[in-house]
Amino acid sequence: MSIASKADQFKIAFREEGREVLVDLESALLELNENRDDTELVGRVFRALHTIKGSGAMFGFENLAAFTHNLENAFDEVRNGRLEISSELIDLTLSALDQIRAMLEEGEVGAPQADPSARAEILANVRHLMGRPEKPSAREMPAASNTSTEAGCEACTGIDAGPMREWSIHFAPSAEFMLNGANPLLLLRELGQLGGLSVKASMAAVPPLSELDPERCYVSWEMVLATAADRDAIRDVFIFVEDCCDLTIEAVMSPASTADSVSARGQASIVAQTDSAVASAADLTARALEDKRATSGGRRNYDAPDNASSLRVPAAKLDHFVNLVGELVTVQARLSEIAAQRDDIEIAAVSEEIERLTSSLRENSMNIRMMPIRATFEKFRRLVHDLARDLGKSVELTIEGADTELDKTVIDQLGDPLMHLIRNSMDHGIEPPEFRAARGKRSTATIHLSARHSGASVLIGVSDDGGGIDSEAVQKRAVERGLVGAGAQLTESEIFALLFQPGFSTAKQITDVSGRGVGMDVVRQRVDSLRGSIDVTSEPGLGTRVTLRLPLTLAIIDGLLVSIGEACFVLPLANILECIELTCADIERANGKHMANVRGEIVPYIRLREHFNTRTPRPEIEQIMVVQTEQGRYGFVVDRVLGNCQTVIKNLGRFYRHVQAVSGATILGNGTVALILDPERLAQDAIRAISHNARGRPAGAAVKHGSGREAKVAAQAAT
Amino acid sequence: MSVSEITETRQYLTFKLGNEIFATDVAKVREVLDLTTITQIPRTPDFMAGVINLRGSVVPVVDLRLCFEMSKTESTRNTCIVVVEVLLDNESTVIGALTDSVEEVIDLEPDQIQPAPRIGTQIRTDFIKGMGKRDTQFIMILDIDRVFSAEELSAARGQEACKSESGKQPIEKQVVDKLLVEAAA
Repeated sequence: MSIASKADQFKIAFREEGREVLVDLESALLELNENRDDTELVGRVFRALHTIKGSGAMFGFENLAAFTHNLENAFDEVRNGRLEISSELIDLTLSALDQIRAMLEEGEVGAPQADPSARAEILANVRHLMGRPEKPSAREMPAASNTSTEAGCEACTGIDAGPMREWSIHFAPSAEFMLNGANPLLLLRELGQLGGLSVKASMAAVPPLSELDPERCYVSWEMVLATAADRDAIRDVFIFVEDCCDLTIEAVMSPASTADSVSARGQASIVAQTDSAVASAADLTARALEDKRATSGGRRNYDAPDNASSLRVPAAKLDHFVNLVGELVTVQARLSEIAAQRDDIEIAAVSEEIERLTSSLRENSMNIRMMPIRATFEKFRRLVHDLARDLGKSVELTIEGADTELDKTVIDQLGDPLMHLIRNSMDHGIEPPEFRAARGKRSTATIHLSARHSGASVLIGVSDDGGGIDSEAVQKRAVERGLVGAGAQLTESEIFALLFQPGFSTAKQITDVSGRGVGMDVVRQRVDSLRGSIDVTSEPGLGTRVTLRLPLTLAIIDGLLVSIGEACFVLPLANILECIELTCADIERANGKHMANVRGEIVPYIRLREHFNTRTPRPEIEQIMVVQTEQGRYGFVVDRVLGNCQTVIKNLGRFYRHVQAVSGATILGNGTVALILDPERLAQDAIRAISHNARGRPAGAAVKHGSGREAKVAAQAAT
Repeated sequence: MSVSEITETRQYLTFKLGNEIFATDVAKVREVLDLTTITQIPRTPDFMAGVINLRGSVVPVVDLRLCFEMSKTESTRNTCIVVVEVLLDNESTVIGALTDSVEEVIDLEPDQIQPAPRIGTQIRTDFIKGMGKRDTQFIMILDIDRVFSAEELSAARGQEACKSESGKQPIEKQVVDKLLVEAAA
C-alpha cells in the first residue's frame, strides 16, 4: 500500500473520531452553559479540545490543530480559575466548534466551507475575553505554502516553548521501508530541525554483501534529541511511516528539565507498530490521553464510553452482513420446507438445528444494528440553545428514554423530522417569556423529547409547554387555501392532519426559522417512508405533543404466516394477541354483524377475503387473528394459519409505494412471494372501505389529506 | 425522447402483445424470464399484476396488455416477463413487463425508424419513440421510461383517488371521483 493512501486512511480515521469528539464537546459546552461552576465539565471541554488538537496535528490537520490550540488555552485559563465562564465564551466556542467541524470535513463532498476570516475573528474575540493583547498570528495560521509536516512541526514547536528536554528515540524501519518510497534520511534531517540531534546508526542487521538486497533497509537508528518540542511534535515527523517502522520515543532525564512534569510523566513510551490504520489511530489517541492523564496526576479519563471493549465497523459492512443473514433466513425456510416433505429423521434434525441457529443469528445481527437514540437527541441541545438565543426565548430541552434502542437506519432518518418539529415548537408553539409570565407560566419553556418502545414500534415524542395549536386558525387557513369546504366540521385530528400538508403554514410572516410550510411536509414524508405514523395532540394554552410511531426495525421481523384463498400473507407477530376460530354457525348467530365475542369482550372483525376480493370458496372454519392497533382491538379473518416464520422484509419498491395495507414482501421457502400486512393501516383501510360501502353517497365535506393514508373522507361530517 | 434523437444503429428487443410487435432498446432490458408465480397485491389496479421473486429480490410486474388497453394477458407457453430497468423521476427501478412472447434482438438503422403517426395506433403516441420498419412489418419502439412513469402515476391515482392533481377542484368532485374509482376497482 502506498504511503499516500495510508495517510488518507489516517485522515479518514481521524475525521470519524473527530466527529465523535465534537459531538461530545458540543454537549459538554451546552451543559456547561447551564452549570457554570462544574469543573468536571470544564475538564471535559478541555480534554475534548486537547484531543482534537493532538490528533489533528498528528494527522496533518495543522490549521485545525493550531486553531484549536488557542481555544484550549482559553479553557486552560478557565480551569486555572483565571477566566470566568460566560455566555460569550460559550457562544464563541460553539461557533469555533462549527469552524473546527468545517475544517475537519474540508475536502469532503458537500462539506461546509471553512472560513479563515471567521476563524481569525473568533480567535481575536477569545483573546479579548482572555484579556490578552493581539499576538503575532504566525502561530494561529501556519502559512499554507509550507509542506504539511514542516508546517505541523512549526505549529507544534511554537506551542508553549517549554523547557529544553532530551528525548531518546529508537527508529527501526522495516525491511520494506524503502520499497514504499520512504526515505529515512529525510526523516532524520527533519528531526534535526527540531533541535540538537545526535544519531547513531546500528548496522548489526546488515547481511553479507552476497545476500544484500539494495532495495531493503537493514539499518536502525538510536538518536538523542534535545528540543523544546513535545512528544507529539516528534511523533509527527514519523506520521506517514508509523506503521512500517518500530518507533520508540522516550523522555530522558536531563538537568535542564525542571523535575516536575517529566518525572511525573515517567517513562511513558509509545510503540507504534500496527498495520490497521483505525487501530493505530485509536491506539495513539488512547495513549495520548493516558499520557495527558499521567501528567496531571490522575485526572479522570475522557468521558466517552470506553473504546476498549467495542470496535468501530463501517455501516456498509454491517448492512452487507444483515443482508447475508436475510438470505440465510430465506434459504433456511426452504430447507425446512424440504425437510418437512421428506420422511427423513436425520434431515429433519439438521434442519431444526439450522433453524434454531439462524434464529439466534438473526436476533444477534439485528441487535448489532440497534443503537440508542441518545446521540440524535443530544444533537438538538445545540439547536435549542441557538434558536432560543435567536428568537429571544428561554427554552430548556429535557430528554427522556435516550437509551431506547432502534435500528440504525431508522435513527439516521429521524434527525430531519425531529429538527423540523423542534423548530416548529420553538417558533410557533413557545411564547415569548413576557407573554408566558403574563399567563402565569414559568418563563423558561420546556421542550421534551422522549422515546419508548411499544410492541414492534417505537414512539418518539416531541412535546412543548407552549401555546398549543390554534385549531380555528388552522381551519381558517385551510378554507382559504381550498383544502376543506367552508363550514366543514372537522375533528381535531383532521385539523391537525392539515398541518402536514405541503406548503401549509399559519405563520403570518416567514422567518428564518419557519413559516414556509416545508418542515411539516418533510416530517410526514420521512415518517411515511419509514412506514410510521404521526399523532398530534394539543391543548390550547398548555402545549402540543407530536408522537411519531416508527417500526423498530426495517429488516427482519417475526411473523405469522396465514393464507387467504391461494395467497399467503404475513402478519407481524408483535401485533397479534391471539387467534380464535370463526365457524359458519358463529357468523349466522351474529346476524351479519362483524363482531366476535372474545371472552365477553366485543371485537369487531374484518374479513380479509372480502376486503381483498378473493374469489375462492371459503373454508368451513376460518381463523380470526386478534390484533392490537392504535384504534383498539380488531380481528382479521383469514382462511388458515400456517405457522410462525422469520420474515426478511423486502421493499415492494417505488411502483407499489402507494399500497397502504402492505408494508413489504418476503420470500417464502418455496420461492413464492408473500405480502407482509401492516395491521395498523389495514384496519384504517378497511374501516374506510366499509364506511364508504355503507353510505353509498358522498357527504358534504371532506378533508383532502396529503398522504391519503387516513383520508377519513367526511365520515364524521355526515353524522 | 423522440425519433430525432435516434442517430445511431441500435439493438432492440422485439416482443409481441397480441399480433402487434413492439420493441425496446436492449440497453433497458435486464433479462427475460419465463412466466413464474406472480403474487397479486390486493386492492391494486388490474394492470399491476403483482410481484415476483427474482433471485431473492421482489420485483413488481406490470401487465403491458392492460396498459395498452388490450385484454388481460393469458398465460401460455410463450408468455414471458421482460425485466427492464427504467428511470422513474430519475430513480432507477427494476420492473417486469408481461408480454405474450419475446421474439428476437434486431439491429435498426436510424433511417429505418420513422416518427410515430399521430393517429392510427391503439396506444398513446407519447409512449412510442418511433416506428421501425422491417420487411413488411411495423415495429412500435416503446419509450419504456415514459410508459412506466405514466403507469406509476395512474397507480398513484388509483390508490389515492382523493388526492386530486390540481388541488383546486371542489371537494364534492373529489369525493365523487374517489367513489367512482373505488367502484371501478
